[in-house]
Amino acid sequence: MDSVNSTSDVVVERLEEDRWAMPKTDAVNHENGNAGTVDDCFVDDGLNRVTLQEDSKMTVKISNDSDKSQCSACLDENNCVVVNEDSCGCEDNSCDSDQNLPEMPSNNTVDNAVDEPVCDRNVICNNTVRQDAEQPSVEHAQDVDDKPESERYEHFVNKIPDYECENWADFSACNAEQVSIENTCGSSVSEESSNSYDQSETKSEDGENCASSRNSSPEIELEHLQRSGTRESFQSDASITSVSSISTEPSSSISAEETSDSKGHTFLNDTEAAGFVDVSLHTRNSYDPATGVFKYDEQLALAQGAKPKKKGLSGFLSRSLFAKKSPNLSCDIPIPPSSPPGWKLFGRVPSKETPQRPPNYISEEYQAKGKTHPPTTSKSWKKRMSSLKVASSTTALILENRPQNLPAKSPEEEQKHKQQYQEMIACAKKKEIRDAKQNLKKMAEQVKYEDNVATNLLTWNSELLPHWENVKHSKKTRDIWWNGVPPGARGKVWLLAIGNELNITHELFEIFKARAKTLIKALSGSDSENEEVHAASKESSVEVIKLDVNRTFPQLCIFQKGGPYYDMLSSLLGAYACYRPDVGYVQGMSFIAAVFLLNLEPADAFICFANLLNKPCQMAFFRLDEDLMKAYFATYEEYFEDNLPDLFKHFHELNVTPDLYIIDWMYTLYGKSLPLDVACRVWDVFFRDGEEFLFRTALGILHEYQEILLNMDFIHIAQFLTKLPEDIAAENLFTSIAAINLQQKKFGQVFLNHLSTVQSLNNKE
Amino acid sequence: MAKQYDIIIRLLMVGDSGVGKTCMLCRFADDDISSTHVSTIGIDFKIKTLTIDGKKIRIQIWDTAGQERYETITKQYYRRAQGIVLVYDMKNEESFKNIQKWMKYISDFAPEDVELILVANKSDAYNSERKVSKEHGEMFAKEHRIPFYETSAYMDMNINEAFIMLARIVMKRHKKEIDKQMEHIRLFCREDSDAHIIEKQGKDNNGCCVLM
Repeated sequence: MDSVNSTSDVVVERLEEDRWAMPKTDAVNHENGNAGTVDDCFVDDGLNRVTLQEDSKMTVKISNDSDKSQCSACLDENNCVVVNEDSCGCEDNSCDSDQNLPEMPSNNTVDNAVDEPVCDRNVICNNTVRQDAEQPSVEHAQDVDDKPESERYEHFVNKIPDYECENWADFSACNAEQVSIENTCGSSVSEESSNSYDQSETKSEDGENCASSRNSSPEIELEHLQRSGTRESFQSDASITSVSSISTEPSSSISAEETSDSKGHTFLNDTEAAGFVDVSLHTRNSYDPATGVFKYDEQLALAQGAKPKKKGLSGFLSRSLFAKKSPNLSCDIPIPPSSPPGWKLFGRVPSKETPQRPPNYISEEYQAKGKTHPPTTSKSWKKRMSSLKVASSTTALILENRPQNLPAKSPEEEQKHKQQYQEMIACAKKKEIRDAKQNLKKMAEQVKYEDNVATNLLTWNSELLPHWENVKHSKKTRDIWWNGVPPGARGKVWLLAIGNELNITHELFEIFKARAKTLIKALSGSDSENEEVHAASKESSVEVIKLDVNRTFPQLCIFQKGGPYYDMLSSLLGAYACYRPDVGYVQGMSFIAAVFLLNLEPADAFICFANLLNKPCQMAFFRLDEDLMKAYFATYEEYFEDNLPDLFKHFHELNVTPDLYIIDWMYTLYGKSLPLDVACRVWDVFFRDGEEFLFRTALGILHEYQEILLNMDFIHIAQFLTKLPEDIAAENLFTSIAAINLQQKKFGQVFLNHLSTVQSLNNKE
Repeated sequence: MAKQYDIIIRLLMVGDSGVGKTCMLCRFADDDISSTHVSTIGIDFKIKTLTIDGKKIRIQIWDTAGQERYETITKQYYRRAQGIVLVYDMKNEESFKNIQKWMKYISDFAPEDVELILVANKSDAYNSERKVSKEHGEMFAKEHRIPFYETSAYMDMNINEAFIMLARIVMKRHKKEIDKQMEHIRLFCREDSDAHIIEKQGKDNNGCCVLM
């Protein structure tokens, strides 16, 4: 490992250089996130922790550490990356590759690098390889399921153990669940990854310089290494690689492992653009940059889903890493079929020695097993089935013989590893079956739900809406209404149910919209043109509107600046602020307006919005009338005590007052707290039953989570209620709401009683 | 269930809308900064447990909505606070001016012995974007004899320091009660039931004493 150590400084330098040269993009943010977590693992007491603010320092530290000793990372129970120095690395697996390596085919090799100093070559390798390792994972995470950034990051973290596992024992330390998760995610790119391999193979057949292609560069680097013998652990790395290879592009896995003995951690922090790879390669190894660019583009196109020409894998393999092994395997020492299990890189390559089934066959088998539910004819069903199909890639881990140039494992070790492998597979299989079952069940429910919605929509459109005035109070309408208005009819129903007491016309909306526009213009045009404008802006809180529109349903990405609804939402809110300057804009309104906009045309949305806010309960809250609010809270508490006495007592003891959690619910009409579809269902019935339903829903939520809440202390209750679980299901919630009965007492009467109490109290004071 | 903390302290965040209160809090409590946070309506809560001077402190942080209109609602929360973080955005002069107004609310509604810190958030801003100089902030803090920090939730600068500083001064202020609690814990071997009883007692005292 001398050569590696001698280069450590250069590596660090190089790393820093790259980091600073990086453009400030999302990748940087990403990196920050990573650095933060890695940071955690250095100061793991979690308290008074010293934060390393410069990421580069982090990198230096990691690189140095890992150069000195073998480092490995694994996830502890808190999902925190724990770095263990001196944990067993690959040294035991590595041996001198100088003698064992066969001559490689020369048509795609680049010899000039051999003349370079040893350390330089290593630098190049480390850098390029690490970058390559990173890049596909990012793509992969994005391509596969558009995960949010945080999740993508988690994905990285989850990967660490795999990359780090230098031998079986280490690997088994990573829990099997993790592996299977990763594999499930990765499986859908398996097609693509093999395709990209074909692609690079095509290149080399054409006699082009393969090294400049991003995909194949690690491979070339490996060949360099083999030739010069600077990296002893090469062969062992290759055998390990396949742990991750199934989940990511093969090329990336090779490269990741290539650096794994010293750089396992650093890759976490490196999210440099792929372009760097090529640049460093070209400059150091004097490859043809033109070709590189060309290839890179191709690669990009590939990543974007373009289907490359498919060619046989065998040709490619004859020039690649594994081909070099195969002469060894077949000629030098014949491997008995019961030889120790190793990892194989390509799930698709039929194994020669071990009687393993190809992964697609296995996955088909799984699919057959999973077919407990008869598939329906709907298209979405088929689509989802196909997504299920790829999920069974965990079974595609293929046993392969241990590379020749590694020392044989002891029988006990071998036995242990075999057992561990089987356990892992069994675990993954179990999970897959479970997941598949769950998915099928979910799908069946979804299909049923969709059918229901379709029939409902028909009823609404053909029977109820045309005769609205006559049927709106009928029992049938009320029943069907309770079950939720189908999204297709929702806008119309809301418009009819809310009514238009204020007689707002579309023209009126246009007028106020225009007024709001001039106000905003006047405000942004000058800083202190005249006091009047400023006073007006304060009144209508125009600036807060601007701020809040961006923060309304950010997950939908349509209300943000540049999104399709941004202007609509700000003009609606601005128009309302002009229409009712006495109310102005109050935080929370943006959510209500947004939900209306999602279901109605802007002008109709404005009519609904203005009329809804004119209702007594909403007016009380949005004008922040203290007495009325107190009376509403008192009314709510009275019903609370009647319906959920135990929980009421618990809350009372802990001093959890309704204002701590109801405010949020009332001001956004549950738009912020409940999932959007559930919130819309609450709105449906709210427009049927009026304000008391809002309080009934609040009690329904408490009822739904009663058991959990009864075991919580003050702060946890407060936290729970201000941030409700995201997976709250409409059906469950509505069952809970149905269990809440506000009928024994008339809501209006109770409210008036409390109001008079509040007012008399005030008068006394 | 073993008790995870010895002492609870309650902090409150106030400041104009959009100055980054929630971001700061997310950074401190979850070490997470999501670009997609929503505006706070009413109030939000976060917890963080820290060990300071050998004591396990559970910090409850109440994150208030910044809009002035909510003053009627938020003023009720001041009463329950032991420490208050005053936040302004150094890119927004208005938010700095409004610190005066927040100070007034504090003197009106918060308990007398409440501890304060002043925080200028978004210190990751470029110099050209900065509207409130560090000196101005410092001067204001000096005037009111409160600690001052320039922080960046985005870059994770000074966030922990600011919160921990406030926690420390709150602890110092309530040293007597804390010592009593610690003695109690020592005597009763950290039984969970005790914590419960004392917590209730604390609530009776209007919630502004140090709870366990």
